[in-house]
Amino acid sequence: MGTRLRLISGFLILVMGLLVSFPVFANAQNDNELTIRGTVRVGKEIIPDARVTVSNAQNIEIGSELSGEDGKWEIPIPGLGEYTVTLVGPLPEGVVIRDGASDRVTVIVDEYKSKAVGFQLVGEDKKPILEIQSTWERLLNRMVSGLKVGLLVALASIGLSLIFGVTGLVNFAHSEMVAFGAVIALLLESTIGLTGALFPIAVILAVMAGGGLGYGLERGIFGPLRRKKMTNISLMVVSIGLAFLMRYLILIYHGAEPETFESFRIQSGVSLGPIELPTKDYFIIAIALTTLVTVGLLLQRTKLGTSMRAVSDNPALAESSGIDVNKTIMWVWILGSALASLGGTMIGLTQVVEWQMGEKILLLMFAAVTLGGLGTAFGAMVGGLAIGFASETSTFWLDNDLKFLIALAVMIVILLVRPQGILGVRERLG
Amino acid sequence: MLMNLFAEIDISKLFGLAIRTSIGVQAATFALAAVGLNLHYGYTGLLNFGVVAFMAAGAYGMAIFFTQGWLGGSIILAIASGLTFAVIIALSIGLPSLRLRADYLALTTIAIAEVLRISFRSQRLLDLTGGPFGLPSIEDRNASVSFADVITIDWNPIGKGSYGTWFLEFDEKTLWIMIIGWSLVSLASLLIWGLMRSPWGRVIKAIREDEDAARALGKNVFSYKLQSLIIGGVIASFAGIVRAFDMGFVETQQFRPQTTFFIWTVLILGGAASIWGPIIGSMTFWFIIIFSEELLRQMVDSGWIPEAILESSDIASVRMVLMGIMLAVLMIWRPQGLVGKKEEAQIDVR
Repeated sequence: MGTRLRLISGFLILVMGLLVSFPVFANAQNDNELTIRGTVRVGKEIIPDARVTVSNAQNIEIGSELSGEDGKWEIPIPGLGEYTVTLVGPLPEGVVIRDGASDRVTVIVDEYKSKAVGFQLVGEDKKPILEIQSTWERLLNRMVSGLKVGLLVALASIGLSLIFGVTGLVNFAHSEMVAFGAVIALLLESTIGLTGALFPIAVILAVMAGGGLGYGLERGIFGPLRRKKMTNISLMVVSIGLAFLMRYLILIYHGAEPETFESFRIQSGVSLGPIELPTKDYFIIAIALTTLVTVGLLLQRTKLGTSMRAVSDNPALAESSGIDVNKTIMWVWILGSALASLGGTMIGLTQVVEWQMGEKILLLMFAAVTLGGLGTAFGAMVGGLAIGFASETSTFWLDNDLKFLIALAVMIVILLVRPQGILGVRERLG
Repeated sequence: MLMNLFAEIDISKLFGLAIRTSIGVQAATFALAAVGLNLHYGYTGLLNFGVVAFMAAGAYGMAIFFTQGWLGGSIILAIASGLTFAVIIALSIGLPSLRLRADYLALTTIAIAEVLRISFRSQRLLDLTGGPFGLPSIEDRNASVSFADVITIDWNPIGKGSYGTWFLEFDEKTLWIMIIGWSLVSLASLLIWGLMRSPWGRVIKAIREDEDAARALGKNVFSYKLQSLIIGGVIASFAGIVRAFDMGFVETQQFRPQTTFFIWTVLILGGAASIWGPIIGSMTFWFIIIFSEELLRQMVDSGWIPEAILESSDIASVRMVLMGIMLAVLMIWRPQGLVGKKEEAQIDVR
């Protein structure tokens, strides 16, 4: 027992350490402007003094710049949105836009990070050479970003799966716990001023608030109703009502505007071999990974974790073996919603914090837990990783708006073919 | 203090607007969709969380057929194609997933509804569905040309003008669609009433009560469930079509999952497994929503509720909060709704 506890507390300390060091490093290269940037070049050949203009969706020019000595240009933009980047030129003799390509590129800036844009130019020999990154490098970066999304979906869905495991409830309000965590962290950051190096305190408080929310929901609503012998289907409908209540309360009190954490607005990428990511993303991946391992150890190696798995397997048997079922369920709620809060905060860090973020991730989480097997924590981890990875990587080949389809299609197929999921046990099903 | 509040509130407007909405087209379409859902959930016990897929299928099937001008672009054929599309959706939901446990069926149906919505929205189907812009195209909409014109102008037997008094004054278009909507609600309710008195209805209810018993008696449970899904789905797709005629356009925003849950609230409020449930549910639902929204608006405008608690721009969101509370509270304290029977409203995973 001693070694196990030491192991787990070691991991917890690691998570804390990562959290604390996170802003110190991640903040280092904060340039405070949102920009579109690029390099005008043909292959390795740099083209200076070529004019590039950026106009917004209403076709109003908002910026123009000549490429520098190194061929680089960078034009600030006012906010997220759709922009058209035009290469006006002049281009040197013999350099033209590649056949089939255009001197106009439309980009959608949907993240607070500067957006790179390239034009496809060819030299005199008409051999197309542009590629700022080679195809496999771009694919690799997509995959790393997919890994990040997958880890966060996994983190957020553990609670959904565990709560189903121990109570049989499909909790539609789980997604709002994710949004709740992000909104609380944002609120703490902007009102109390937990910015910069103090930001981890905001994250920890948000996670604690998430745990508190889980406690409150079980204590105040779902526990009493379960003891009233309400069926799980009725409770599921109650949770849908609750989800709408929470989602729109967040809208009323947080507002409709998507916001970002002030401390981590825009960051230029840091290269690690062929991978180029903003610094914060490395930290997010590390924090998510260590948290997942900690939760895994908690479930496997502690008494509480064992009783969680026992109740999930067979509540009656667990009860007769002397496990306090209600107490275990309470801890599952607290742990699950604390993890959802952490996941939500991290998702808010990589994207934006908005009232709809719960709605957006809900079906992704359902897909994750059904893929992995409803009711198993490890299933949620595996499923979350797979779903996040698959949907994010699919944008390499497919339109961005179709990435949800991948997740939903996987979920439908799994439900039809193997409803217990890849890690689930068949006998539990009716 | 209290006298003061009453002086500030325009009671006539409060009731006027609430009654107007509760007999309006919106209430009719929600009632119609709830009649369809009632057959699924109330009578058959199918946990269909994809009601909106049937509405979308009806509306888009009709709109695509009409705007593409297939077979001369007849509106009757367009409506028929909407209904056919709904049947196809019912088959493609039902054939693979009706054997699933109730909560898995719920997840599958909600996922299929979202797949349909995201596909309609996709840029790749821009020429067919109008993508995120919907149908008819923006140019046609700016020129006020719509598939609804045939119904609301050419085929409208009511002379131009406005009818009624007080807040219940409707122009000829709205009145005509209201008549169509509520007639369809009556027809659909009559159909369900008839079906439930037939041997078919008794088998359906038996499946809800105990599927295995029905199977033991030699009934093909799967086939009955599929029939129920198709009939209810077609009724719900009429709701989508009527709504499209009322608004004059279809857009994927109208078919977000929240619409499904609105209809669930309507059904549970009125009472599942009862003929009058969907109708009373829809009228009451819209009365409560509009009444409380208007009351809040007047209280905010007159300064009774300080801006710090609620701003007037947030009042539209209050309806969703109310919907959430209604759904949860009804499920806990009155699962049989206003007119349902308690013994018929017990649901469980089989």
